[in-house]
Amino acid sequence: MTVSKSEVGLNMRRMRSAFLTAVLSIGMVMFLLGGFLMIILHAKAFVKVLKERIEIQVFINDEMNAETKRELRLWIDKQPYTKSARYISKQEAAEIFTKRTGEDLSILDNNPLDASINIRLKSEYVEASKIAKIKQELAGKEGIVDVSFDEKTINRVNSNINKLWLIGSGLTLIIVLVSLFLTFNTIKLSIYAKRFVIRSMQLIGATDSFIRKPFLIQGILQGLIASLIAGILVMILTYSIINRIPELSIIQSTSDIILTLIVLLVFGTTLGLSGSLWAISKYLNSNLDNLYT
Amino acid sequence: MFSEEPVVQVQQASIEIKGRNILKDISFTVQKGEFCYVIGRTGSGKSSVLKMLYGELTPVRGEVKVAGYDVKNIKKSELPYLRRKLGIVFQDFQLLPDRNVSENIEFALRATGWTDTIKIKNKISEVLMMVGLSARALSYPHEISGGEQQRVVIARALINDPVLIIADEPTGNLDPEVSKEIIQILLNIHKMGTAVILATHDYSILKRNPFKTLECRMGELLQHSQSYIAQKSWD
Repeated sequence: MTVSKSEVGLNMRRMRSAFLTAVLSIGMVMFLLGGFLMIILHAKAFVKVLKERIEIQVFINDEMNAETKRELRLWIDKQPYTKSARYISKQEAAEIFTKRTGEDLSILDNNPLDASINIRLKSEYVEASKIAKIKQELAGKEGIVDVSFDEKTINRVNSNINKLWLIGSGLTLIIVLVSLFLTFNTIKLSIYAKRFVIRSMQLIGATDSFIRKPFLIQGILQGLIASLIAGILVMILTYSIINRIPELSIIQSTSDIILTLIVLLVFGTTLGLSGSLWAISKYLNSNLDNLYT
Repeated sequence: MFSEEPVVQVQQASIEIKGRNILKDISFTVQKGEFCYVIGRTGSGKSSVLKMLYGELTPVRGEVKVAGYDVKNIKKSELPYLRRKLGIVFQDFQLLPDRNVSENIEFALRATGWTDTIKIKNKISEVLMMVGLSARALSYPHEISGGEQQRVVIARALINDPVLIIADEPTGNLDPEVSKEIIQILLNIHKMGTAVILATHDYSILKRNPFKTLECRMGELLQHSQSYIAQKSWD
């Protein structure tokens, strides 16, 4: 029972270092999780940008008068699937054709190309089945000659995105499980050092809730500090990457960064709290003899 | 003298640990204000008897009543309230190293529901005086001797005016002179009307201060009267 000065110093250092170790390891796990979350959110934004660059071409009857063309264009703009629409005249179509193929259409008497309205769809509509429905709807519209889209490309893009999401979800699950395991073990070790104090408190007649309280507060603090540090580091890293690669600015989103910070703070704090609750309950329900093993 | 209900009533209780029988069909009582020893070889079940009394071990059979609580059927949520009626002292009972003597006792008081600062201060002075440590109130555990630390543990055990002190080899790590002082404190507590159960393997204590003794031997609990202990040769 005797407590020597060197033991006290050692105990105090151990307790302080146990707190810092817990903050550091939870922080590292949160940094990993935050970084991964940031990659996922940016990948999601990238996929959205990619999908919204896919166009469907709506070829229109060139003999329509300007008013009817304007009305059709307005109608397309109002459709829920339309992200943006662009009118391509016969002349522009010929120029694009020449640019792509190198063949000059001006040698022909008549320009054989139709004018079109090129629609960029909202990302959630970029699926072959949904586009087929849109095509059907457009085809029935007066003044529309044909509707064309690259079904193979759309299917390939969607299939690759699905594979990526599957891999991403698997990795997220692994990271969450690893973070749970590491955090719980770190907290358990930091409380392990105080197991005899816990037992002493029980034998004095302290209630479980009284004993639990300081440990839960400590767990919340550890989780909060760790996730705050991790969040700041993830934010700095994200901005520095975006600054170095200007092309990424199109997918940069402040709301994603704020979301990542909130997720980290909530997850880290919950992890600290639940880890402490689990570890303290383990020692509260332990037999005295088991504390020595 | 002992007209009230006994502080401890054990009837035909059996203790098992991990399926192994430790003590079988033991029965004894400890009256209010009585002093009683528990002796026996290492592993004979001394500590198990004490653990059973403060609810650390549940007997597999029989009846155990301590300070008015049915310990065999006690709910986990009621254990703190049983323990507030007891004072538990043993070798490994830790003091908080980062708090001084007074703060250690204050912490125990607050942990057991005390809130009034003046009453807390008065109680700290009272229990420290009882164990002769008033002058050491502001010392940290590492600044006082092992014997003094054990006195703080006893003072802490006295905060809720327990009806029973359970001491499991409280002098195990102490030299003979300091041990005598600790035993004297326990005897003083007994004289003030608190029952004391002291587990020890130091028979010189029994020789100097004979009292009723419970002996754990071969899975049984034998009872020896004070007069038997006084006459017995311990050499």
